[in-house]
Amino acid sequence: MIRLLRIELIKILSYSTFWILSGITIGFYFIFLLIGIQIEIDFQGVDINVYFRFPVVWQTIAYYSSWFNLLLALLLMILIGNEFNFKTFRQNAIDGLSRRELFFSKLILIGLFALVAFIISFFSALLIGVIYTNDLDSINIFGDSYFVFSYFIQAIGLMSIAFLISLLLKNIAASIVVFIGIYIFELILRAYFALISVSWGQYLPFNIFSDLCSAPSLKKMLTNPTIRESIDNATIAAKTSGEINEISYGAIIILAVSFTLIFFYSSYMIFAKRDL
Amino acid sequence: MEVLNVKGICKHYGNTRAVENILLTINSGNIYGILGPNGSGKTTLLSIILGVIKADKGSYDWYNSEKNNPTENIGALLETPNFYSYLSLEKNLEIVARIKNIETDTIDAALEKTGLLERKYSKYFTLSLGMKQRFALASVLLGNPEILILDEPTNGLDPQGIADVRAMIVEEAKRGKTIILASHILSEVQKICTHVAILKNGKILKSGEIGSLIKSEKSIIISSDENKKLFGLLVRSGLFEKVESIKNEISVSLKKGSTAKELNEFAFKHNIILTKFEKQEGSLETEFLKMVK
Repeated sequence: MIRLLRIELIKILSYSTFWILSGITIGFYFIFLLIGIQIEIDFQGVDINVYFRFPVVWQTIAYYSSWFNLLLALLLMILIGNEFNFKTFRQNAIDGLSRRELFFSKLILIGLFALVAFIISFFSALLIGVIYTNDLDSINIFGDSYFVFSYFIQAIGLMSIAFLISLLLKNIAASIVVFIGIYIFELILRAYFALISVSWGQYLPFNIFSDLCSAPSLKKMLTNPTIRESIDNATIAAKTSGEINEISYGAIIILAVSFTLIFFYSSYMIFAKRDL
Repeated sequence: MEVLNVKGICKHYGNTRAVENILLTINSGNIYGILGPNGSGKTTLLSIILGVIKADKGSYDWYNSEKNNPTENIGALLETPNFYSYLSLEKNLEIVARIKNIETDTIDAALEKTGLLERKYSKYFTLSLGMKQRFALASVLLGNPEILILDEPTNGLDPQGIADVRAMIVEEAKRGKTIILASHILSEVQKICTHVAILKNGKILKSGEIGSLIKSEKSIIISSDENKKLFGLLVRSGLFEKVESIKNEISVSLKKGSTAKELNEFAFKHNIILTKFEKQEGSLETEFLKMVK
């Protein structure tokens, strides 16, 4: 595994596009984050800073970070497209990498990207939370930190789709277009399903991955506990009556992991069966 | 020791036959030439035995499946060289070294051998076509593999480069390496190879030791003032393997065991004076062209 990681690192660390895209991603990530935390809403009964305090900050940052996963997927599609463009998958196989190793080398790369993104998100959330939370002793700091772990699953899940598309199309531009195209198609499909009152739309892969890091509820910024409670009660009533048909968070995680495994398995089968 | 055993490999692309029922055994120390016109299936065959292409039918064994990862002992160049254009030569070879589980300190030696040590830190895309081919050979030689598979290794090289590659192959052969060489430069193959397989339309037409292949083709070119009469006499006599009339000359292939002297005596006995009597040494090229015609 270390050997495969080393090989992948040689490939990416000398690749200027990798540094440019990573720089842009990380740069924009912190620029928008700094802008975001400085937003003030001077409205009675509303406290926007609650999103930057523990434990809500974990969900806020996970949701915010999830927007940057598209860039991770883009980077992955460029790197895999390059392998086809330079015919280096073929050359690596000639030099002695088995098809299984070729597959795992990319899996390691995906894991590495997701891990780096997770670490950045985790420490951003931790730092912002420490700065914005007034009374650290009375609060469970890591209470909702599972949202950042869900973000890790989401990053891997979206890259598993990008991986599969790249292997199928073998072309950088076509992969990016199809990736975005499928995302838009799924949005249209979900809207259509909603229109005909069919709930299947929420089980589609992009939606499942998106639900892993949903935005924190708006009611959280309301300072009046009575209003928050009444909103909660109304939501519970709507769920009980069947007006709101939401998948539970546990089911979302199971579905997200299942989709990821299916996409990875399909990618593996392509490596195993297809000529390089 | 048996290095490679190819057992009935077939590969089709739609209705097009790429290779059909290829049977081949290559032993340690063999320098095996794979010959064939363009599109005859040479590269497909090499791609299959390197695991890059999946065969529809048949199988192959490296070292009788006794080694866990036989490709680590193989240095191969297939068609055009493929490397990361944005990486330096050193980094590209480092990838190959890591794949093959060999020390990276062998990189300089491989670059020096191919005259590219000065370009160690140059990006691959800055190399000329000939240099890229030489660099591919550097990657093939990295780690001193036991088996070399070279598909048209002199492609894109200038005459000096071709001579250098030929010398390199001979040198590696002298070290006892097993070499599989696909080429259509027949003189090159004849000079270097110990064995040869001739492919046409994906099928092996003939394979074996190069000596036996060329010997079977030994012939004598004769002519006289009475060519027509002589030709008739030779054909009717049945004493010779093959008699062919080529322009103003006659090509006679001798039967096994018979000598050129017998042909001379035959003409003398029939009162025909030969104006030309030239022994033709067999060449792979003539044999090859005859087969693939």
